[in-house]
Amino acid sequence: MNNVNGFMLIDAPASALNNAGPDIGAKTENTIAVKKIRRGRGEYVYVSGQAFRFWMRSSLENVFGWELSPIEREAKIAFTAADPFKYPDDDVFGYMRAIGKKSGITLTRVSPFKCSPLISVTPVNIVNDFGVMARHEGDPVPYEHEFYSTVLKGIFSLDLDSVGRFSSENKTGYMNITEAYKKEWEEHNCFIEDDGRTVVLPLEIRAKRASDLIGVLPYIFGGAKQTSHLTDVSPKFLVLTILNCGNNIFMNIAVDDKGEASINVKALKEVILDYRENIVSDVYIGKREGFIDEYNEDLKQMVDEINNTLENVKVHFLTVNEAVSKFQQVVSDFYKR
Amino acid sequence: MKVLRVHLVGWTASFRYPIFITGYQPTLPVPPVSTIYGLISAAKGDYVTPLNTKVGYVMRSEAKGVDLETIYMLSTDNSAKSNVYKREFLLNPDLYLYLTDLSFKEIFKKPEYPLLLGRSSDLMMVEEVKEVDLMQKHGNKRVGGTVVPFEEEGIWGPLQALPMYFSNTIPREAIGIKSYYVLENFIEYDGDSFWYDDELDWGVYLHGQENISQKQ
Repeated sequence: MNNVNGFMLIDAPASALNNAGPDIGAKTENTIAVKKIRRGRGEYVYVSGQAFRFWMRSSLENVFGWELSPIEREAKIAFTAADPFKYPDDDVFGYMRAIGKKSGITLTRVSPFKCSPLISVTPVNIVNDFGVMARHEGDPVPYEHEFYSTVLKGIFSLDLDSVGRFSSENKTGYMNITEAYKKEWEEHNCFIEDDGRTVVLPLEIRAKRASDLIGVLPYIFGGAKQTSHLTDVSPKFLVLTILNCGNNIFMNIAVDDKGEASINVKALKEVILDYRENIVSDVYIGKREGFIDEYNEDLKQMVDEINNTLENVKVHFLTVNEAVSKFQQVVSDFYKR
Repeated sequence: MKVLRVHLVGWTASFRYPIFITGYQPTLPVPPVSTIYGLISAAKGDYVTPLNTKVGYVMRSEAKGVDLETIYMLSTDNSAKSNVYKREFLLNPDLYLYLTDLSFKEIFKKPEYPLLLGRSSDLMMVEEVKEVDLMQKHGNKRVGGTVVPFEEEGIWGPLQALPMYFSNTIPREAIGIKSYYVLENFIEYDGDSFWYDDELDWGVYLHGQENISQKQ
């Protein structure tokens, strides 16, 4: 199974990217709290995986013009909702749709794209901001909301073999489609495999969907309170590679160094060397100038050392946009092997 | 006894209480046995049940958080209604798995599917795969971070009905549901039903086919 493995750091200065609703027990009735986890004395803020997936979906619609699968629709054919042929987001983000007791069929598709929540690397000082609504006649209405400044870490994986490949196997997560989709797959010139149990989209469509998903990363937009905080949520540090297994190898490379988010370059080097047999593409590291520049030299040195040691894997240290566009090409070429 | 010990780490994990359907969704502090067999199945890329290997595990986490999630409730007329509910999750899960079938070594070095502990956002990384010796140690030892079948003498803790594993059909069926002690924290235990990991200094309860047949 071939997976894109990705790691990213998102810089969030003065942000409130994901909120948990009213803060019960706050002094005033209308305080909006950010999502956070308390661990010991510290508080870690996070953006739920669900929210990040929503950012990805809406950015894919805005940047690459993806036609997103609607949640409400009219019943014209048997099952119109879960349609991975027509809607690329149904393909890449998966679905579950109970068709009803009568037909007894429930369609499910395991999401080829999986992502963690974004979690702050270090404990965070959460600030309570005070505001008023006073543009009307009469008493102003005070309100409060929380925000923070931190660096968030996140990882994701994309199962390249599953993108654009739909099975009708009678197993939970694998009953993606039924015979009712026949017209759809014929219109899309799909390949039929496994005696008709698997339907595969043409390579160029699969390559486009997978490389769009990677390509949207520098343009990703989303998060709450953007009117008053306007956080650029595109990754400022990014590691991308293709692995031939399902291990998520980059989970330990961001660390809390005396309250500062930092990159454990040694750990990054170690996982690349340890998993050299499983890495099937080059490794692309993207970093935005100005973001944790103190690691530039360490990273360059690590890249040189690995490139001098390893035959099959090369590491490229680039800007975020260069790394992403080069890696998009890698993903596209993967389907044409 | 020679076993395979797999150390996995992640950022989040969640294990749904089977009795809660709507509203607040608490998480169990440790995974049920069925989640462990699900994880092993993902690593193998094929269906693994207690008939294939016995498993033991010790899982700890650092904190518990509450997330707000939107769900879409679909009805038969193809319309959807959104609803927001609270769901608990665990921070920084740290899981030691013990497998009696040593042939899983290669499988965990190169897992087939992405490893998850709970839901699709709970990604996991294999930190170490190692063959270790579990010993029989009589007398006091600390045990916890796992579930233990209800009948086990000398164990105490909250009880919960949990499945052993799930069928591979649509819909999935829970198989081998019985009462388990859910041991979030470590307790002192005096009996001989646990094996002992000398290096990590804790007891390991092995779940699997022998346990099923003994108790039936």
